[in-house]
Amino acid sequence: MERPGAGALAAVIAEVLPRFDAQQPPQASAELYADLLIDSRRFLMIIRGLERRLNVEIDDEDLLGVDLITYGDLVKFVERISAEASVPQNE
Amino acid sequence: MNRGNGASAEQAGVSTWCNFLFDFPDHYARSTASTNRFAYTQGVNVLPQQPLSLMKQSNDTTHPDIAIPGPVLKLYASYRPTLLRRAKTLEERLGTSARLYFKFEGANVSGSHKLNTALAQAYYYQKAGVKHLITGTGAGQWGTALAYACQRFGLACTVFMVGISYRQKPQRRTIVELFGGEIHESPSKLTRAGREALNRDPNRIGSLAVATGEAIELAREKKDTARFAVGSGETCVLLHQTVIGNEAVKQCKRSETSQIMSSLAWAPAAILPASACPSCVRGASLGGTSSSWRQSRWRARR
Repeated sequence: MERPGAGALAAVIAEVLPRFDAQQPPQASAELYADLLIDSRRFLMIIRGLERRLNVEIDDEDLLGVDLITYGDLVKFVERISAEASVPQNE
Repeated sequence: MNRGNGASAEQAGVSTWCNFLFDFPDHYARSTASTNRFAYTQGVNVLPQQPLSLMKQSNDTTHPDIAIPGPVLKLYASYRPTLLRRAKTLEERLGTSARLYFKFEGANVSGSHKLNTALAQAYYYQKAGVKHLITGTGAGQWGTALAYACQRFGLACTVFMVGISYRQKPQRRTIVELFGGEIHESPSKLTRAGREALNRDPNRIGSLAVATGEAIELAREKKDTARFAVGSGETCVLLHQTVIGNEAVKQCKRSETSQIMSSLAWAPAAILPASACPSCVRGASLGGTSSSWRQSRWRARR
């Protein structure tokens, strides 16, 4: 079964990078900058797209201690954000 | 007229910055068109060196106003609202029947408008886990403001100050140190950029370009804990300065002033944020309120 965070990420990257095929996401080891041409401005566009799709607000604190070098790093980050977003606030 | 000097921050009622990118989305789109220039470099962390919140502010075309965070508002209240003064002599010299006003932004602990963005930036960097801000400063106002802001948010601060100013304005150096900052005469021997500049400039006149270069170099060396902060040239910096214009609109409304020429004593570089902000210029000079003008824009965009 496809993980919701990973699916949302692939869809958002496809919006930002027209040549990106959301049905065939890259290997986890593919580098965001060197291989996918994601710079800090495109990263911001991806963050905004994720906020829209996952209905969350990604804040400075969410990025504390995070390194985003590979596609796998980004998938892990998005899965964490998406899991936190699905937890009810009162719990 | 009410000059605003007796009003409290609550009376001035400014709790947002005016996001001019909302008013000029087409210009934003043109100015950020991708160039697709990538050097093939491996191991690059795509996280921006700026906090995400500042990146968002510099690229936000969807929100007409951006809320000023509570801790920043609290510190603004220690010196805002600033004086709104009538420029009678200028009116006479120009022979105009319009009433002209200016905002005086020099009456704060740092001595300039730079504090408006220094406090905001220090707040966001601290929130993003940064421990140390490094910067370059020319005559020293920005370095002073950042040193103060860093002290308030518990950050270390290092300032590279243009050599000639460092020697001509020793009081600036003292104030930065009083606020707990570390200050270096630039060019310095601390960085490669500084050492190379010293070879070309043995009298240490210095320049803002070299001071900034030294700051960036040191910030890259200490990238685990430190970041380079800048007091001008970033869109978010302009955004933070719109507190001046928003406040002027409120003060003018209270005094039933409908025509504004905004300016800033001691701060010619910041005339733009105060006067170019649509909520100031169009809102007031068109005779309507800033909020009604912006609300009509908001409706048109939706």
